[in-house]
Amino acid sequence: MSVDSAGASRRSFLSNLMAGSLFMWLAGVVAAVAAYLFPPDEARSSLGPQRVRVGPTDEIRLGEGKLTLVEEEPVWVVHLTRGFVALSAWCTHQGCVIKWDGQKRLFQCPCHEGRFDESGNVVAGLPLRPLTRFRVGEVDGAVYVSRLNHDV
Amino acid sequence: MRSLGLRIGIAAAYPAPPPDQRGGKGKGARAAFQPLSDPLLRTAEEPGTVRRDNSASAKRFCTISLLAALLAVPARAAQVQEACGTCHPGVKTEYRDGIHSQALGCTACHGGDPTTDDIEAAHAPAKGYIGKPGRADIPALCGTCHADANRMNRFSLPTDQYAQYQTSVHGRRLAEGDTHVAVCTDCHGTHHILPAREPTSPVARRNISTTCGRCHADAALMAEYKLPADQVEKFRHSVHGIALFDEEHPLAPTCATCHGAHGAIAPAVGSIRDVCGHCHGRTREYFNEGPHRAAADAGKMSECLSCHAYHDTAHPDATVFDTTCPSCHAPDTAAFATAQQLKTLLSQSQDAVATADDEIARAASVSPTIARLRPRLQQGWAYVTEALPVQHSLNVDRVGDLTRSARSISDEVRGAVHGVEEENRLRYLWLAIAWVAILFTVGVTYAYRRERQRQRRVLGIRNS
Amino acid sequence: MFDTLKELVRAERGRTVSAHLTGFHYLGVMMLVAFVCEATTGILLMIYYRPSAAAAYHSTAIITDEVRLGWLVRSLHRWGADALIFLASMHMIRVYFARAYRPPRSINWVVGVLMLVLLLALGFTGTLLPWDQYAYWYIDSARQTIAAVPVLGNLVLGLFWGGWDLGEEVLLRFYAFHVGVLPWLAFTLIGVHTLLVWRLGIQEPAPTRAPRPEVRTPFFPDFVATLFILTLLAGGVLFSAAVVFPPSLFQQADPLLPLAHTLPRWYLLPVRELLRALPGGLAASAVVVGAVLIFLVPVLDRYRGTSVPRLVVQRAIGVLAIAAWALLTAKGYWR
Repeated sequence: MSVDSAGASRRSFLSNLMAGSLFMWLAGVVAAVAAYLFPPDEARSSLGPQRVRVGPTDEIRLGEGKLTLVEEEPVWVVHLTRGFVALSAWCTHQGCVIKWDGQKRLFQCPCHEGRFDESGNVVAGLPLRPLTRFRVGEVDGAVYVSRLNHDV
Repeated sequence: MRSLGLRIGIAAAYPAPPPDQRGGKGKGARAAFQPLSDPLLRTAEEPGTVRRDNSASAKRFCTISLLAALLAVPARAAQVQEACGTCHPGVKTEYRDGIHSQALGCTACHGGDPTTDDIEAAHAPAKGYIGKPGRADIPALCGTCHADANRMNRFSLPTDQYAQYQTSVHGRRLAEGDTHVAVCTDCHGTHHILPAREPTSPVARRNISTTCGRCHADAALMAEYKLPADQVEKFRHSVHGIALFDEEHPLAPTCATCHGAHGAIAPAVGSIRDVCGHCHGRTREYFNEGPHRAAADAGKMSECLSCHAYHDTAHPDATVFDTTCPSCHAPDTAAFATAQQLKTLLSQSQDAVATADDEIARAASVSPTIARLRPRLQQGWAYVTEALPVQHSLNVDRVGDLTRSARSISDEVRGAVHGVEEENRLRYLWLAIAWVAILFTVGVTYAYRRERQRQRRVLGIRNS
Repeated sequence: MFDTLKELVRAERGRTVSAHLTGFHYLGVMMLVAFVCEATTGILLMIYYRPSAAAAYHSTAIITDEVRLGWLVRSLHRWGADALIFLASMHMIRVYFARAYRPPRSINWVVGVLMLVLLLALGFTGTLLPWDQYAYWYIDSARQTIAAVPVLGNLVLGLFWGGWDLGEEVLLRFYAFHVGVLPWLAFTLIGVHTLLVWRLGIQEPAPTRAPRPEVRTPFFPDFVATLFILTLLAGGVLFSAAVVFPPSLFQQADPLLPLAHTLPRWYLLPVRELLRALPGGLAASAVVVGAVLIFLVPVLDRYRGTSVPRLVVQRAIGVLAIAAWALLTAKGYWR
């Protein structure tokens, strides 16, 4: 039947189109779910204790310190006789980045008169609070630093 | 001599002052003052001791003290119960709360006989009674103990106040006969004396400006000396006043910090740097690196006062570059250009960081975790804050380095915020695409269904 | 090996539905699709969400901000819940006015109303999970409203709050109900409901309930195709809502900083308004009596005749109930 043959081609075209649409939607949903399931490129925020590698243990000599970043906060990692110590490098007065003086065993703020001892306690100047402490540990010959109390 | 044991005990507890510090040029004269006649302080070795018959007075003393005990005098009263309070109860209450009552009785300063409440006996000049000391005599009277290291040792108190006072404006004018100036009791109180650590003491840190203000904010009184009377008011609204009263910073200065407490004197222009620099040492170091050091030494400007006022000290804003610098530097000089450069660098970097902060706040409703950018921006704030003291060195390069770092950080943060907002706008594009796909699919499905229906009609209606 | 399956499929090929179905008859099936969507988005959310007082808020923020398409999954889940309850209400109204609860479908009505209660409970428990200021203080205010209901109120409180003050323990209970207990109950009831519809078929719409040969259309592909079209369109509306009006996330919950006025979602607002409108015991009794009556509709209406006055009464009651519901909702928002 002529009608039938024209109808047949139309029907098969529509069938294909229908199948194609269904497949498109299915593929879209699967792709969306897959994209969701694979973790984001970089963990921009984090939950739970996250450690930051500072460097090999022998990189920081006794009496010296290294400035590192933990979630964009600068942190001083200092090698003392009693071990490693990690303190926030933000002066508790107005937030300037303090500097470690290995000779005097003091942190000095370049902005005003803030001075802190090697445990972060205020020794001189306008700051009232001691420096924020961080946890520090040695794993596999490298020094790691993490926040003291990650209470989100 | 049963009272000898008592006297020897007292002597052991309260040794005599060394001979050169003993006062007393005679009795009864008001200009020269009497040695202290309190039995607690008078010892057996002191010359001129009036031997009195203590047995009768001791009996009366016991009776009186028993009576006083029965009247429930609280434990903070003087160690020996005194009869003065019988006629002067108000004063006794006042005195009892003060710190002197722990160690001294009334007669330590006023003289007289504390064991009797008979007014003539109590107020007997023979017992050393001087009544109310004259204003001019007060510093020396207080100094008999407070300038005596032997006496003050056990309390760990300094003994230089009297010496300092004598060098001060108040002390010198008092020596010239002006009794309108401050003496010890004006600041410390007369009977109700509290140590500076007690919050209600007139010499507690928060209260010092009010205490000084009792005279120095009195316009009529200050007019006599041709002094202004607005310092206290100015101080209240200054940076230091805000730090002291509002922020309650334990290191904020009071009047005494800059002017001295007992040796109060207005700092001379040349010594301002020592006064301000005592706390602001870092800023002073930066200042010393710059060309203004030579100008200050040559007396062409004051080290701190030229830009920062003294009682109403405030953070100068950017307009100081336009108003203060031109007062010495003409607009076409290199110095003026430096000033304008500094102004631009500082204000631009501050604005950049502040804008980035606002944008983070605004984006918080769109992106709840945008606050993760704050620590990065804090680094920018740190550079801006460091530039403020560094600018005193007038080193444009150094300030420029700091402000440039601040601005690059703020640009980076703003870029991140804009990126997030951009991503969110992209969602509308996806929505449009989705609707196109939906409508397309709906059309296809509809056409497919109609085709199947038509097919069924052609082939005959059947329930299949 | 697949012969049994093939047999089952072949048996289904001949399934037909009435040719006189309107769009309203698709509501039930669309609800099934919506429920599957809710379950899927819910499971996806479970992968990144952390149900502890310390991390709930932050993990929700991470889903919204950082996980790829996390904002979409969360938004669809929130709007999907609204859509589900809206569809359920419409479906219930359609079934009520079509009197499709008459035997043999009476059990289906009871199961259906039960499912509606489950959906409301799911919506309620899910509201607490983001642990932001709105979530915390809304649930806190709901507690007082629930406590006013005699007997049932204490039962609900004991079940959901477990005697604790609103904190981590309660959050975990709400979470367990929301992802565990309630969905499994719902799945079971959906299974029963769908099975009954599968066996009994959709009730023939009224005008054609005359004893003459009914016109039928095949289930495959006509019904399915129409269902697909309606689902796509409804999905488009849902997607639009999800993009244009994403759910907000306020500040993190602070037990010391109360939010004064928190509005429940629209579907629970009439309940709260009713409980607050009438004094104490009267309101609670009204709610309980009303709920029982809704369950017992098939029992109350066993009339098999065609007398119009009786039908008018039935319809009038329905219209009044809907009007009351609408008024209470409006009053809640007006305040």
